[in-house]
Order: sequence, then C-alpha cells, then structure tokens
Amino acid sequence: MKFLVYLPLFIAFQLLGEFIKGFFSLPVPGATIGMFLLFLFLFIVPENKTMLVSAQKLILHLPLFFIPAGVGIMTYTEVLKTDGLALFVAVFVTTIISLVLAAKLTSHLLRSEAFAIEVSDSPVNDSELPK
Amino acid sequence: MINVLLTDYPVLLLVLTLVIYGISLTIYQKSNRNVLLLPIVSGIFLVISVLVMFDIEYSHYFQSVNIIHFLLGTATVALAVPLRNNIHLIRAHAVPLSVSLFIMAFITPGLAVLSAWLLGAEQGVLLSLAPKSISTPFAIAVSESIGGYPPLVASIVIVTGIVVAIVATTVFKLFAIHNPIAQGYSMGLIGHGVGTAAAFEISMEVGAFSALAMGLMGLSTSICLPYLMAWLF
Repeated sequence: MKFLVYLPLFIAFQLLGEFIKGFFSLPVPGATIGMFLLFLFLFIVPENKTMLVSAQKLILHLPLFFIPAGVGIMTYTEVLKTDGLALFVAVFVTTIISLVLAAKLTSHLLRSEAFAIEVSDSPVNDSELPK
Repeated sequence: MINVLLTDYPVLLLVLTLVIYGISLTIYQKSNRNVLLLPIVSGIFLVISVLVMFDIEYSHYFQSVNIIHFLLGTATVALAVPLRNNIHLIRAHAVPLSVSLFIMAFITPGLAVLSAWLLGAEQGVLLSLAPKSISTPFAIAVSESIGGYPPLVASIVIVTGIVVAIVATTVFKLFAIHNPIAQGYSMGLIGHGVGTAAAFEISMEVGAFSALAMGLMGLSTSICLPYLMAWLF
C-alpha cells in the first residue's frame, strides 16, 4: 500500500492541469498539461523508487480506467448500420497499416541515425590514431 | 428488481465494473495473455452486456463510475515518471523521433479519412475518424473544433487503441521490428493510451516511449489537424 503515498501528488498535478486548461481555455487535455508539469517538476525534485513503483501500479491498471469511456460504444449502433464498412476499414485496416508504417519508419530512422553517428565519429577516431 | 437496485444505488455499478475488471484480468492471465482476451476488450464487452441486459442507460452508468474515469487522468499524469526515468534515451534519439512524429501526424489521419471517404462515409463520420490515433480527451477537444461527433470519436479512438494492443506483437514479429524504442514509439503514435497500456506489458522501456509518443502525437495532431481538415474539406 506504500505506493498510494504518491497518488495525491499525481492528482494535484492533474487538477493543476485542469485549472490551467480552463483558465487559458487551451485545446489540450488537462491531464496532458498535468503530465507535462509533473515531468518538468521531476527535474527539480528527482523521482525515487517508491514514486516509480507508484506510477507503475497506476499505469498497470490503465485498461480499467478506459472502461467507462469505452462502454460509450453501445450508444453508436446506428452509425454502424449506415457507415459500418467505412468505419471498419478506417478503424481496423488503416490502423494496422499505420502501425506498420510507424514502426518501420521509426526503426529505420533510428538505424540511419546510428549509422550517421558512426560515420561522423570515424574521421575523429582516424585523426586521433596517428598521434 | 436488479434494474431498480442498479439505478438506485449507483455504487453498485462501480462495484460491478471493478468486479468485471477483476474477472477480465484473471481470465487474461489464466489464458497465457491471449491478446483477444485483453482486459479492456472483455471488460467493455461484459459491462455493455450487463447494461443491455438490465436496460440501464449509458449516461447513468457513466455518472456512476465517474471516479474510474477521473483516474484515467491521474494515470495519464503518472506517465511523466517513466518518461523522466528514460530522458537520457529520449534525448539521444530526439531527431529520428521528431521526424517520425511529424510524418505520422499527417499519414495516420490521412489514411483513415481517405479510406472511409472512398467507401462513401458521410462527412461527420469522416471528421470523427480524423483524430482516431490521439487519446480520448485530445480527440474530443479536436473533434469539437473541426466538427465531428464527440461520443463517436471516443468510441473510434478506443477501438483504434484496442486494435493496436491486439496486433502489435504480431506486427513486430512479422515485420522484424526488434528495437524496443521503435516498438513503443509506434504503439503510442497510433494506439495512444490503450496502446501505451499494452506497451507497458512488454517492458517499462517500451512503455515509456509509447507514453512519449502518445503525448507528442496528441499535441501535434491537435495543432495540425484543424488545418489539415480545413484544407481537405
């Protein structure tokens, strides 16, 4: 139960985020602003083991927290009748295509970056060798 | 009888949701983590079944379990901790990650809208599909500004995340994506919070990059999408 210690900290940043969102009427969700602020805060007060475990426990149960919003699907059976096929293709097929593209693109870019670093490093190493 | 009980005592719906989640989680773990039995999938399915069976309205259900929905925001804030914990890796790969983000922020909504448009979906549905890869609160904020149906947007977003959670490990195997950074980053870019929850099951590192991508994709899409949609329609 030690992990519950940091729950109020997360909630405080969540509420701070909601407040800032409302105050400046930003199009960004309050929780995301809260996440960003906590992220910055952690540069001043570094995270410790308990805080990390605390965050992990909460993140582990993300699927539970999605249930209330997810159950909302039950109110949209009408659209499924008229635009069902289009929705199916757009949600299922293009999501898989996008995931493949994103994964391939990211791993390719990471690999070419590693290669670029090697290339830019090598002349330095070479010039150092004769000395 | 049960209907009256569930309507008069909203706390029962809260208990019901927790019990269903507990059962879903146990089934998932007992099934050797079969992706088709992901707790989010069976959980939503079982709750809907109960609500339909006892004729309970969604708005009543949502109000009753509002505290669970609130914790979604709390868990989102908590994502900052693993993010901070992996800052050295994020800094080291800032350039490829930004390029990938920029390209996918256009391709992902573009592909979804294009395919539905080719299949003759009406404009409201098209606009609801555009923000499908960003987490629910972002997506709803964006859809309000571009003109989609917010509740439909929420459903599309969650199903998109579920698709990512289900297919991710298979996709990575098929297309030989072994780099944990690429795995996590792509899951977060396309599958937002639901994808991120699945990414944390692979490892903390994969999860941290998914959380990063989720936040960045949400930010960039909510800035870019209104312009992209104004240009398309």
